[in-house]
Amino acid sequence: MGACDLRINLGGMEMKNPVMPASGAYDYFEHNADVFPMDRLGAVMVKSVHRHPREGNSAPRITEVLGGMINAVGIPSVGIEAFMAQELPRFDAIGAPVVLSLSGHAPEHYYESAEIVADDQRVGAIELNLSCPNVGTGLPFSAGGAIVEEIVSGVRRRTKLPLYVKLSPNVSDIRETARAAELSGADAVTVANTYRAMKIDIRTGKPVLGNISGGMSGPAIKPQTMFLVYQASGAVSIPVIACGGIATWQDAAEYIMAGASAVQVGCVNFVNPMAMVEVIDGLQQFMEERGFRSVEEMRGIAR
Amino acid sequence: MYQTVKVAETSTISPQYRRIVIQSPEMAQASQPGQFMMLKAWEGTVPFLMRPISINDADPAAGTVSFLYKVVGEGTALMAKLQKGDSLQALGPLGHGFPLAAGAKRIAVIGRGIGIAPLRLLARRAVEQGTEVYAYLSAKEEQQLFDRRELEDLGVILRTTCDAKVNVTAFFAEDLEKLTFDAAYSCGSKRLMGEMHQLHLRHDFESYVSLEEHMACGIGACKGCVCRTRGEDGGERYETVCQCGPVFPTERIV
Repeated sequence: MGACDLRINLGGMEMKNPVMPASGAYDYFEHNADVFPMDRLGAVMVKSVHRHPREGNSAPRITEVLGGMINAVGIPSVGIEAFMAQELPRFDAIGAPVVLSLSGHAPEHYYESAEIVADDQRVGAIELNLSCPNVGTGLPFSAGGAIVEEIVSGVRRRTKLPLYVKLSPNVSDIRETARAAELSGADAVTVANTYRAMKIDIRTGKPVLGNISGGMSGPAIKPQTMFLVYQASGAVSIPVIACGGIATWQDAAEYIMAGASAVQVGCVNFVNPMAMVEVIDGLQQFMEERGFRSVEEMRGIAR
Repeated sequence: MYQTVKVAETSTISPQYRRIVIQSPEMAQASQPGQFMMLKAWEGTVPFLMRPISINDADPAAGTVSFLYKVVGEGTALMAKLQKGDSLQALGPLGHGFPLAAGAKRIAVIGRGIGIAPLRLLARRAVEQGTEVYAYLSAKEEQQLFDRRELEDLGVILRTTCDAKVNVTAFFAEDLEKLTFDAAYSCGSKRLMGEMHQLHLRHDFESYVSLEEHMACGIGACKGCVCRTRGEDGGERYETVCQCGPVFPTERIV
């Protein structure tokens, strides 16, 4: 048994451990502060900020399913200008690097937001949400390599900040979109977002969600995303951030063995507010017991 | 706050309606009328989400918080199996509860069925500060006039009905002709809220409602539990029930 150093450099952003929230799963701080010190996280992640103010979808926005939940929140947002002025300061004060998730429903939205963020040093990295199932036409941008290339290279020209690209799992080949992101200048890819899903209330005969369909997350999607992470990390040389159904440190270890450099914890934060700290502590202990001195040593051993 | 707490007591009002009391001095101390907690009475992730349950009463001296709930699905069915000494996970107290003015002379609490649950702590705190409390309660049957005796013991003046043809707010309307109320509070029925709001427009009292919504996180992170509200500028928007509510002035509800 030796010491394990959980520190990583994620596409140019230093983190003290490889654990961060998934966008939209943890971003309100008055209550969070008394659950655990937020600076324990490798990074904090903001809920996707849209180019313009958005209300989000009509209710109901969430519903529980076996092994997780479906959400169709639809990215309510104050818009990027108001976010930078009013909300970024409170994230900046946490003491962990801030990953700023950007959303849009047209390529120009991403470009304009990137110009506004520019190289603001309060932002540790930008994550382009190219995969929200609940905005615009409902067709995620990362459904195709061409549109990923267009948006990522457009944003790349406008900022020097580390750039992560969150890809959709709703594709026929994740390797294609991951490679497109890498070739266009992404520093990491996040694999993946939620899976398009729906639920029908048999008493009313109608869809439960106001938006009809939504995105499924939770422990039930982990095996599917596991394979996507395995495939993507074999296809690109930039880091892969795993996001999909992580509830425990064992899940995080599994993703790292599949090839992930870092992990995002999503809706399990709603179920267990201590989940991220338990993942950090559990990983540390497991890796020390198994003699891994760094995340990189354990990364991809299942390959 | 987030704690693993022990069950201090459980009771069965009917197979569908239960009471559970948890032991947590910190939560009992912090609980305010109209707030709620996220409770999880099972291990693992099936069912997945914690359940939002309104705080029925809190006893800082005994270090206990009680909940009155209806068994409606898998989560509450598992909660109903808990026995004294068992553990559960609790996050809270959460949300903005019923505002109670320190100098209020008289308030009305209006509830139907399980919507009566959050009114007891409000009545208790009001009585403790010398505010007179009138309660207007309705239900399908006598058994569901929850906390009737407890409210009486607090010194609350009670008017109740189980007659489907009688609107309990009519009793409130009668009393408003003779008495002045500083505020009225309701929970559990959109109809009651609407009737209370109409009376609020005619009489000069503050009017608050506690809303219910399916929730995932309970703390404003997921933006899942929204209601449509009207701002001071007259513009409409979505607000989270968990974080901005669950209690709203009725004039803000669209």
